[in-house]
Amino acid sequence: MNAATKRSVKDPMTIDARARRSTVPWKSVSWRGCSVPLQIHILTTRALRALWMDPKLVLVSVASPLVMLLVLSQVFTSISETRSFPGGVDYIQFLLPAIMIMGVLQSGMGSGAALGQEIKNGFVHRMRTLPVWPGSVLLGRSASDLVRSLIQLSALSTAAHLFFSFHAPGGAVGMAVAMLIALMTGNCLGWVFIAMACWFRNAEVMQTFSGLAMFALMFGTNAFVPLDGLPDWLRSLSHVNPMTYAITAARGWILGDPDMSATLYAVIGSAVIALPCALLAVKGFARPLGTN
Amino acid sequence: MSGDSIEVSKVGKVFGSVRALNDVSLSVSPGGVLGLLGHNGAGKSTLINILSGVLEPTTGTATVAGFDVVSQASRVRRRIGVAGQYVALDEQISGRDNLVLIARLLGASRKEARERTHELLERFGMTESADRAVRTYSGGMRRRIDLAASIVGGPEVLFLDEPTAGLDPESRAELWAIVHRLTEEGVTVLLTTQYLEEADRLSDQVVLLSRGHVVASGSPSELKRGVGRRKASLGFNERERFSAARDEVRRMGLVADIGEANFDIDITIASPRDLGAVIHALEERNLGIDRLRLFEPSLEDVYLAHVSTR
Repeated sequence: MNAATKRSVKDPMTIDARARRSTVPWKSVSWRGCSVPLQIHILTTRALRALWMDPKLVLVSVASPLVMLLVLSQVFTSISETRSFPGGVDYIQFLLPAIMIMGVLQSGMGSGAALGQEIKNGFVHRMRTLPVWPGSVLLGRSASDLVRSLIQLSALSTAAHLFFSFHAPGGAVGMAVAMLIALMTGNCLGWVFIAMACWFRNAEVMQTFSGLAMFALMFGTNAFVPLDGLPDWLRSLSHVNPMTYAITAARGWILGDPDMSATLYAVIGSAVIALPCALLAVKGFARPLGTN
Repeated sequence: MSGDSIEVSKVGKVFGSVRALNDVSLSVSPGGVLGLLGHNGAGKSTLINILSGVLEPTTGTATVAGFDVVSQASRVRRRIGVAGQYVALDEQISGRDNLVLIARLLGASRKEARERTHELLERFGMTESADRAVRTYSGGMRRRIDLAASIVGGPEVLFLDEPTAGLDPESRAELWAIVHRLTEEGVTVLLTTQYLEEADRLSDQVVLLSRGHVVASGSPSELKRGVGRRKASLGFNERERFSAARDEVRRMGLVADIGEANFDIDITIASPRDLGAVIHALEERNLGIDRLRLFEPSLEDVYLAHVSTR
């Protein structure tokens, strides 16, 4: 009886019939792994591939800042009439740079959450069993995020031009530099969330914490109102908030009045945050799986 | 260095205060299939994680394909395939993209990766669904593509961690067929399972793991023979014959479990010869059996037999 069942497993399956046509010579494959830069490149493209497969992801990442832009520009327009508001500036010109920064920050959070998910669902585990440097997975994630943010920012600024009659007094150059600042800040802060994912290894915890972080980071800045319009305690907090410098810098370039020290602070500040976070992330990521 | 594909020597693993593995030793010769049998928490996955270089053992040593799993982990990783209990793929991209991704990471050129992927998709009968995102796949398809992913690099040693857990019988049979074919091609396999039947079908050697200890090892039939006793159920349609048969069975001194309601007599036998004797005795008294069922020893039985005799 046993022999008969063994046969039935082996023989009449359709899969087997298909398989018989292509016999893969077993030991013929002798690949020996690939270099770290190539690993990063491959892992970056695969994360972008997901966007290609599911364009909804891009749509959402563009739609939510657009909704923000719409709502906030309606709610806070009256601020542009207050004394502390820079003269001759539309609220939308004031707001867009902040929304840009907020958008890239959201992508950064998204990539942290996605990594948390992949640690949970086993993809990371598979990477572990391959001859791949663990840091490649993280760098690939971060790099694909950069591309995603670029798409997001381009779509956002196009939509702002088309639907919100936005125009940048700083011209195309100002706009481009503002985008660069946003990309850099977003990518650097993205490492905070990647590091969190590596240590928490839990998508839910990530989500809660990220929401909180986002709220604190964005409202403790000059994102929506000028600094002078903030209460004292919030204003002093905003001085240590890297987002303030990023927003001031991006805003300056867009408004055609670049603030060089804010730009410098933004760039250095983000790097100072990113570096230890990246190291922490690699360390957390390399911890054995299943010990958490 | 011995010629074995997998060589585990006194491996122990401690997580905090939990001793997950205790002095586990085993070996698998090239082309062999070892079934690692045990309940949840027996330490099966821990051992696979150690052998695939994901975890380091606390004590002991292990080699896979001739390389030490700790000091030569990257060499080990190039020679193994792992398919786990969970489908370890990027669910956002297609099955084909996943296979290409792994081939590329293993060092294949674009062209080689495409060709290899094509071969595997055909082999696993997944050409039609290859370009859909993995998240849209059914459970059985996920396992198949995951298994395909684990053999992209033509591994010398394949680890399968409960490859059919949670699958419906049809998908399970499909997966068995695939694994069987792989083993016929000479790849060394270590598979874990909770089902004796699965170990029986696929492996030529079984190691029984309980709470981190190896409690028994041998071929599936050796293990079952080790259990000795198995259950047989004799069913009757009439009370008269049932009662007479019950008395006869008792007279023969066989331990019996009587089901008065449906006229069933469950007996425990030590060997098929015992069953022959019972049937013969009943036939001689014109007590024809209407239903006869023989129960193979289950994992439970093997467990009980080995754990209690330790």
